[in-house]
Amino acid sequence: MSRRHVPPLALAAALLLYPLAVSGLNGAAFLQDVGATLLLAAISASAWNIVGGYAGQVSVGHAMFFGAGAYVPLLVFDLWQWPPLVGMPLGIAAAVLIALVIGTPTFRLQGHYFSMATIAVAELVRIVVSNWDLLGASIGIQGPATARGWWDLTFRSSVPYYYIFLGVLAVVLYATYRMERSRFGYYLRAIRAGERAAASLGVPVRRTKLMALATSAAFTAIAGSLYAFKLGYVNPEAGLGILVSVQMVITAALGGAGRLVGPLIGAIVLVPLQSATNSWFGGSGTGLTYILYGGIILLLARFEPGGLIVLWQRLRATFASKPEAVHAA
Amino acid sequence: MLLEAERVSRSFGGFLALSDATLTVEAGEIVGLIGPNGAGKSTFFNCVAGDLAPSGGRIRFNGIDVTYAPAERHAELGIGRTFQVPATFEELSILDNAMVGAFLRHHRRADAEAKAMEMLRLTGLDQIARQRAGILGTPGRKRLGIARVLATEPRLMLLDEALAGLTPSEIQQAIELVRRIHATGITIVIVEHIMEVILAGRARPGLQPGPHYRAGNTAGRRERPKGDRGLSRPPSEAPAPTSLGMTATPALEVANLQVRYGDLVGVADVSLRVAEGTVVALLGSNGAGKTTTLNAIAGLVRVSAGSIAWRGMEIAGLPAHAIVPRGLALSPEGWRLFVQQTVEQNLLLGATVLTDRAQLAPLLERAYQLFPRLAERRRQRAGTLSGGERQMLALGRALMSDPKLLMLDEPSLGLAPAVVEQLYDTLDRLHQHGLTILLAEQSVPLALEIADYAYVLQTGRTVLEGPAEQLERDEQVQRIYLGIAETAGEHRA
Amino acid sequence: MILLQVAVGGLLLGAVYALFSTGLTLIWGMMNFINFAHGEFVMLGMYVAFLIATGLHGGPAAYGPGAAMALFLLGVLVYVALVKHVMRGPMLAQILSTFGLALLLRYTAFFIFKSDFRTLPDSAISGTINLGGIYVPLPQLVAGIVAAVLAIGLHLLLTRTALGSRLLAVAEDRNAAMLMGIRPDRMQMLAWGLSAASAGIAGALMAVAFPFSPEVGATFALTAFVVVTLGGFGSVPGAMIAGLIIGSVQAFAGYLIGPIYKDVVVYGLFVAVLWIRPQGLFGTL
Repeated sequence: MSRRHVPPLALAAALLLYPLAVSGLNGAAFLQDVGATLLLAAISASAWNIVGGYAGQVSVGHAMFFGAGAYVPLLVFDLWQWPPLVGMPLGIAAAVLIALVIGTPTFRLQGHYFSMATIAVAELVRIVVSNWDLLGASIGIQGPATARGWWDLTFRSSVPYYYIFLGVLAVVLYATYRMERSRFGYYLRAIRAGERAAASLGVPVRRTKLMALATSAAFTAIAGSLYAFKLGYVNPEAGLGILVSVQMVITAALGGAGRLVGPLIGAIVLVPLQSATNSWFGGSGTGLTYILYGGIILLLARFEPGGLIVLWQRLRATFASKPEAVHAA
Repeated sequence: MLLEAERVSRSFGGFLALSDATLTVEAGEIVGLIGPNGAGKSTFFNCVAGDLAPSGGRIRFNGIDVTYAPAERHAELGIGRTFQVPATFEELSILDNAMVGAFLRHHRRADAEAKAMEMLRLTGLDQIARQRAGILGTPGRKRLGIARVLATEPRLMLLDEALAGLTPSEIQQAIELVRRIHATGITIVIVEHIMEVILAGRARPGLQPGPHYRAGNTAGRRERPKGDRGLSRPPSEAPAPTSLGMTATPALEVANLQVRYGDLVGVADVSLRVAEGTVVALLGSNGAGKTTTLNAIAGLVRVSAGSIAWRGMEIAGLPAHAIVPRGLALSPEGWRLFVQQTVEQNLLLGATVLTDRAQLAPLLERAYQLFPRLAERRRQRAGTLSGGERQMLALGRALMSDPKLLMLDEPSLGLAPAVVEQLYDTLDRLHQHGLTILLAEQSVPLALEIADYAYVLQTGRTVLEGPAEQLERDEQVQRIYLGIAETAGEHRA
Repeated sequence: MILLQVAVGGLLLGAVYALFSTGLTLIWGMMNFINFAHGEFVMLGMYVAFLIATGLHGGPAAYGPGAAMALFLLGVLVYVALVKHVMRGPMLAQILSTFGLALLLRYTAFFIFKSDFRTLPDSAISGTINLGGIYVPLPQLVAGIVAAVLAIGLHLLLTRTALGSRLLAVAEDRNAAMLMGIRPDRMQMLAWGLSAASAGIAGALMAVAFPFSPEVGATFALTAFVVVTLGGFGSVPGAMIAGLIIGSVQAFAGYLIGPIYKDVVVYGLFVAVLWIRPQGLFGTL
């Protein structure tokens, strides 16, 4: 086993064992819940990463895909008492449809149009949903209160959710890894690195961008569904609000947009941080957490847009070039 | 017939960049597109490559109409192109760059990687395949650009000035590479300024002159005998041609100027002197470094080495806004007018640095007297002016800062002969009134008519200098430049 | 008659939209940069008016100038400290930078002012005026007219003055502008100041007529995006006309369909414009 494989394996082991490791501690349930939230954030951010990180098309409206994935399963339960799980594919389909509606006109224009359109459509969807009684208006929709069977995915403890999320994250990361090495992945990165040159080499730019957006939307919808299963409840603010979108972007960007584990690293840093600041500053009502978010994003954009991964690489390179300094001590 | 371009035209807003350009290329040829700047080569090239949609005409590749097809379709059909300014994917590795190209025909990663490595070996980049493309210098970038395109297995390759900015030895290597590529059966169309490339590669110059495309600017060769400037002036006051250049006080002195854009050499070693009250010409073909030299003096580009002294004061390294107030003005190549604004607004902008605002009205008057046509059109948007009028406006604008040294970059480009005559008359008059002029021109006869002294540039160096009449008779100059300038259309190697 | 009233109301609000959108399109045209915090500039203008009214006990005449000065400084600061540096970088950094700024400004305002909607204290500008059968609230009328005047003034500044000429020169051709002796950096700084100031004044004007809270910035940002897209990339006259159109569309949508849907219609119109005519009314694509 080479040295290169140690950190990822260590990380994987840590993630696997985390709920068990903390089960003996005071506040174990809370810690396990944070763990589940962390994984969910990593899934959403990894989904965003496909179109925002690799392809470089910055969407700040991914909440609409997340919301589609959250609302549809709960809706099918609300209307017909079906297990929410059944509604998940429908939610994915809805998300992909929205993706095509936005992507088709905007991907032939400069990047700014796409970004603006994602914000506008996300808001549009949120307002419509907030005022539509069928979808629960501003109150939202509830899922099953008690489990009628395992398929309702209604568990008391966070731990089963944790492992489900971990499984899904593994799948998303694996899919991203395969994509990275595939023709599609190369084309995405080429588009980000230089659209005009990419087209001159035969990259079907618009089609590729659309596929990336649709894929990203689908995975984001899955994350939304998982959220709905765990919380058993969704409302327009939590499912479709702008902060949901911002969270995905900042999580991926902080860790490293366009890198495989960037979103996961971002989640590992931000989710515990958010829990901590929420308890210090008395909940998100006062907005201090978001002042912090805003500050982090600003500093990131200004000084190290590549995120923590790039920062780490840069620091390592600086220290590697001065072996004497390191050994002097 | 592999490629057939018929009467292709393209306009940008009101500006007709290309009109009725026609070109046919048979499979297996190497065809060179040559001609002065402003002839529309790049525009034509971009239309053929699918980067730009023509406003009119037809382009057929292998019988298939590709006139309005997007660039990716062109690539799919087998048209590959490189970019004048290499557009490598900086963040990706060299191998990954090539693989993007390879993936067009090979969908599996292993196959694409093999193809990419093969192309990297051909271009000599295989040893550093895993490194980031960003580490490459310009020659490396150009090679990577070629490797990348080759990986798409094109039948036709469009090379856009693949050799600009390279040193002579690098150029030799590049020519070799182009030969090797051609030998594999790929048809090549190459836009190039450096004639040796075309001639060495046994290329056939192929762009038919259309109504817009003027075969050289020598058509503007003036009839008047030298010495008679057309104005009544006592001979004793006319500047004596022979005593200029080396002995009169240099107003502008450039010594060993070097300008590099990263690794790309714009100017390698240029030295020149402009004496007060004289007209000095900078000659040389495209890519020789004339524009870069003028831009460096004007403060638009950073000077890498050397000095530029104006009236004894060192100005190299000063930004443009600090240079104009010191009395130097540049009318840039292509005029660069503010087309959205009016004629008068353009002129007034030229006077931005004027400290004594009382001078503004007289200077404006002077501009309108020099160019009555501008006065007529003073409230019109600059975008509506004809070519000749635009040149007048550019010149007028440059004069509005009341400069002591006026620099002009290819003022006769794209202008009709009659207009060029007028232009040079005006320059003459300005010279008579004491204005020092530094003029970059591709048209040798024109420039030498008016100049007192001239410098010849080639690949970023001053290779020849002397009083104008001397150079006019110099065979070397005649052979290299007059030959090209006269017959940009047909020239058998 | 009632339709006419709706139309007038829409046009007056549209004039305010025109005012704050011209700044956004100016920056976009000049630097190919979209300021995602533009809505927050408007919101801050409202709160500056609020502070002038409650803290300094200034009258309505002071709101506009006060907001203008404060926001001008903020705009310049944002350019110098942030935008100048991210301008040449990757798209992600550019978008994130002003987005982060937007969050920072919005939640700082939340923190200081809390989330309640506020209004400015009643002043000389209150009541309703009857214009030939149409009842127009005086605050809206004043806001609309002042906004229209200022927007036109900004347009004239750009097209008729030497300073405006220099700004537009930099927007059109940076290098050529440098050859005139113009300093592009200074012009861009000025443009940011003007952009923020016009947003701030627009906010102050709206504060006179409508209640406000820290979260309205998001809606204004979106409105501005729609206006500049409809008006056309970089076109100030386009933004002005588009502002009036959007204001009217919004008013009619609110009246005919329902007040909740006035924004929905506008965002839907945005998508429609992108599909059908992305270069907008006066833009070149």
